[in-house]
Amino acid sequence: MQRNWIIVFSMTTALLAAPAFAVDSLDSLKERFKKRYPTLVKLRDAGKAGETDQGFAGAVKSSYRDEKTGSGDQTVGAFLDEENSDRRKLYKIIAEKDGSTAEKTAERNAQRNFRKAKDEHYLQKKGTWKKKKDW
Amino acid sequence: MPNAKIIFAVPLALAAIGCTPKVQVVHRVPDPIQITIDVNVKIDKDLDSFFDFEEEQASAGGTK
Repeated sequence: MQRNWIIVFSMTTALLAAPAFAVDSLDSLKERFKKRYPTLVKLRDAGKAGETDQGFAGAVKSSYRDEKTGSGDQTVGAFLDEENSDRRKLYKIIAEKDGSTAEKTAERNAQRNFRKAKDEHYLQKKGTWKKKKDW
Repeated sequence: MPNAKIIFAVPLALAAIGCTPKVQVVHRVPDPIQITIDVNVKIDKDLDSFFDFEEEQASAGGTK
């Protein structure tokens, strides 16, 4: 009998604590995005990275993935993988909150990024990279 | 004189029918397009709020 109460107590505590963890993970996600943003802008401005129509960042040429970002020792590929991994997490959190899907949220972010991009920034639509001004 | 009664009774009856209150409750179900737009607005708002630092960093460092 006492064991059952311990199980019920543990489950209730876990359920109550879940939103706190979600908020914390959103905050830590934001911090990571914030930290990476200057490098992402630098890569976009240099024409090495761009935004895809699926809501992720990508290397404009696959050879750029092996180059260094110029901020630290990380390669462009590793940097973009990290960025996209966090974007996946973010899309999932927002989708769950708003009653949508991660894919739809990613699509909305792609539209947002396309809108905010400079004319010289590269955008990928259906697998093709072009500068914004050329689309 | 029965005609006179009819003359009064008919308009009275018509007026009574005309003044009967008609309360109609219309239950409107939002169409799917409306729901989609609402969800998109919510997502856009959440994304803008999450990425608010982009504007801050852009105006501070002139990156954008």
